[in-house]
Amino acid sequence: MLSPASQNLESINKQEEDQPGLLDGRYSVDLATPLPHFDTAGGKAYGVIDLKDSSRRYYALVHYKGVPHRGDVVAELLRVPVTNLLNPILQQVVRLKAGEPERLVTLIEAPGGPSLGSVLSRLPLSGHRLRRYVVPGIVQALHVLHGKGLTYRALRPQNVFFSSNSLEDVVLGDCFTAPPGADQPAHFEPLEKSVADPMARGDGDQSTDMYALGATLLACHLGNLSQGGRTDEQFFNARIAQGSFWALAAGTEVPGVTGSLLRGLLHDDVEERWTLKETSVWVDAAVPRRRAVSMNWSFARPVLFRRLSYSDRRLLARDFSIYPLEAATFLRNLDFSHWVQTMMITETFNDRLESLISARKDRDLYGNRHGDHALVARVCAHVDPLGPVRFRGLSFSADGVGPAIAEIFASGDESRQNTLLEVFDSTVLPAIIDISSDRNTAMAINGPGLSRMAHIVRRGKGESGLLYCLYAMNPTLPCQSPKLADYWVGTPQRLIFILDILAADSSDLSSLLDPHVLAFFCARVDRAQIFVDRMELSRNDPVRLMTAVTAFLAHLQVALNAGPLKNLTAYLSKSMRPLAERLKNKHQREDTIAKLERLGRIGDIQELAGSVNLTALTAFDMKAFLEAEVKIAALRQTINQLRQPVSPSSPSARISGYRAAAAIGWLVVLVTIMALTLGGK
Amino acid sequence: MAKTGTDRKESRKKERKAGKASGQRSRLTPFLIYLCLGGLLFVSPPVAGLVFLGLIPTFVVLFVDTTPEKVARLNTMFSFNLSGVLPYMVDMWEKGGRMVHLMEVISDLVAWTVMLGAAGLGAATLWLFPVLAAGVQQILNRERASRLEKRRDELIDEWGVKVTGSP
Repeated sequence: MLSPASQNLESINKQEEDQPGLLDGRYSVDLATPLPHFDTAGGKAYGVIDLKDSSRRYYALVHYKGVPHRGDVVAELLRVPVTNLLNPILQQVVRLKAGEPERLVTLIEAPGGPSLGSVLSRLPLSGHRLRRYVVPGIVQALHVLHGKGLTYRALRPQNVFFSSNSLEDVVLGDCFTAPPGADQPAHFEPLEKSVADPMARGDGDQSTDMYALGATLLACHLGNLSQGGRTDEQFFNARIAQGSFWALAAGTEVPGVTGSLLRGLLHDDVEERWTLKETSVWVDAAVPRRRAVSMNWSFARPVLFRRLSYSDRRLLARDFSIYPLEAATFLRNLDFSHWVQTMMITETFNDRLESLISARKDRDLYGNRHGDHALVARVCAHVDPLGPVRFRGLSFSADGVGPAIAEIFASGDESRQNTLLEVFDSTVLPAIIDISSDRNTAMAINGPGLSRMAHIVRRGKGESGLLYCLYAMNPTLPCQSPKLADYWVGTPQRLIFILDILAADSSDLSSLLDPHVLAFFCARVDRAQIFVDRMELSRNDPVRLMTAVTAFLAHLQVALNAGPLKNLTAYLSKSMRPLAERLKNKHQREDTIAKLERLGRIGDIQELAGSVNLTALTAFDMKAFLEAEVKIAALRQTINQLRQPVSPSSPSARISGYRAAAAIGWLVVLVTIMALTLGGK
Repeated sequence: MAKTGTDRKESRKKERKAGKASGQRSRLTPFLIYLCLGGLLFVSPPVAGLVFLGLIPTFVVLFVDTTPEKVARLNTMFSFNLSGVLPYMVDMWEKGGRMVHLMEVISDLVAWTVMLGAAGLGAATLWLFPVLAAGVQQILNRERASRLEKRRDELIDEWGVKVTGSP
């Protein structure tokens, strides 16, 4: 029995249609009041009027459709809000104006005071205020978030707010409406994340937040924090050469305990970087001490590439990725194994790594130099294992692949989409996972998932495989199908419901089930991929395709507990009718059409799929038709024979006649005997 | 429909079996006739003589007929011929079955007319009955053809005209 889940959705939708821009019946989004300082990479912020309680302050973030947000963080904060953090109050899909497309809106607590950034633009904060108010507030919020297994990833002065104009307690701003780290300036990101594309920086770990905390506190001390007019490349070089602390401080000495804190938090070596525990100890007026074995980033002797000398592996990896074709030529002219072993003496280069990197001297035979680009990407992963994956201008962290794919699809740049396809080639991402997993924790954690995605993309699915990755790796991304431009479809339940609405006016179901819709279902509904594969295999046979589509929608209806889908069922019934009319057997045809008409009105696709299997019916019909043809031919032959005149000389007439004559003869004998017997008496 | 090799083999086997059975029957019938005549020759030679003379048309068929339907034809001829001979046989038997009685019958033109006339009647039956059988078969075939046509029309109605192979 189907539950009326879709009816609930319908009622919600109706409510939205009645009152556009109203959240939960009380929060009115004020589109006339944009709040650009709250904007994120995930959406635009607007003021909110609470119709029931004007004392509470909120703002609304209207999400961009192509940018995923941090659904796990939102869910956790909605469940248990965190003190010292601007928590989300609710998320709802609404139309902001009548007739406009649906948008996802997150209602967020508004801060009571200015942002740390705006205060710093006027005057730097004293060490006392930092230690008394700012650091404890941030540490407390980070402590709770990290305790929940979440990272903050948006810590910068512009996103830390005072809870009142007295400039005492602080609260952290929104960290959940954009991909992690997407809004962070590169110098608020640790070295290995700073070279990744902003959308592809990934969740990172607690140390990533600690680095951002260090950068934020340094900004508090200095009054502001900038790259000092240097380009990203120059600033990266400076960070490598001097260490992030000195590059950011631009030579300014930070004395005392504050200096210890900042140097500890801004340490480029994750093992050396202060943790929350050490920061808490610092807040309690003590200076912690720690030592750890750090990774050696220096070459045994300088490497000469493009007439420049490189001593740091991370710099060389970055420049390899900037000049990949020259790097490929450079690498192919080396005895790579010997070169690595003599240059990177602190690490073992074994046969496994050698075969994975496979730096052969043979020239690349690919027309697009894929082999060269892939080689450079693999070498970069070995030389800078903590750095992002770098391939043909893309740069993403292992934990930031999902948002990176979303950003590329949202840009609509086909050449970048093709590059993305190449990333999943066995010689790029899967090889890089194997190369750097034992040295890169994020890669080790995300490697198995990425390998599975690479397998799906390489299974010959091309763009559809990428779309599967897009939705599987971005659980909060709504369906991007052009057919759904008017809707915000974030769940498969809602998608099937919207498809049912669209089916009422659509003339072609196949245009509704476009690659985005199919990939969305495959990524988010258990076993849907099996049905989509069947549809793909049946593409050239309309009967099998229609059967596969019906089975797919039936599976979705049951798996999603979608309730009656009258429009889709009627549509399927209507589409199946011409195919049913092709059945050759009159009774079968009439029965099937009657069934389709009856089931088309009920809205139960499962019943329709179970009762009318057009593929089986057509196969059976064809077989029976051939048998009927043979039967008819045999009948025609027999009838022709029977219609021929029977001659007395024909064997059958002769034998029958003689047998009858013999019978008469013996009858005569019998009569004679009886006559003789009776005459004798 | 063309017969397959296996079908042909089976039909040949069947024919061979049927031929064997009819051959046995064709050998059995003269054997029985000879046995009866031989027995009769021992019991009453004059009666046996009458039988031998009276059944001459049957013996002609027995020795001359080479058609596949020989047994049925022989049966017919024998039965009719016998019904002509039988009254004189019984009469002779009742009189004692002596040679003089045989001579009486042989010299009786009516007796010859009856015995050979009965055989003639048998021959006429053999000519007439295949004609009658052909007529009856024609009528039965027509009825069966009508039934089959009805079945064919039902099939065409169920499957459409295309099932007949016409475009």
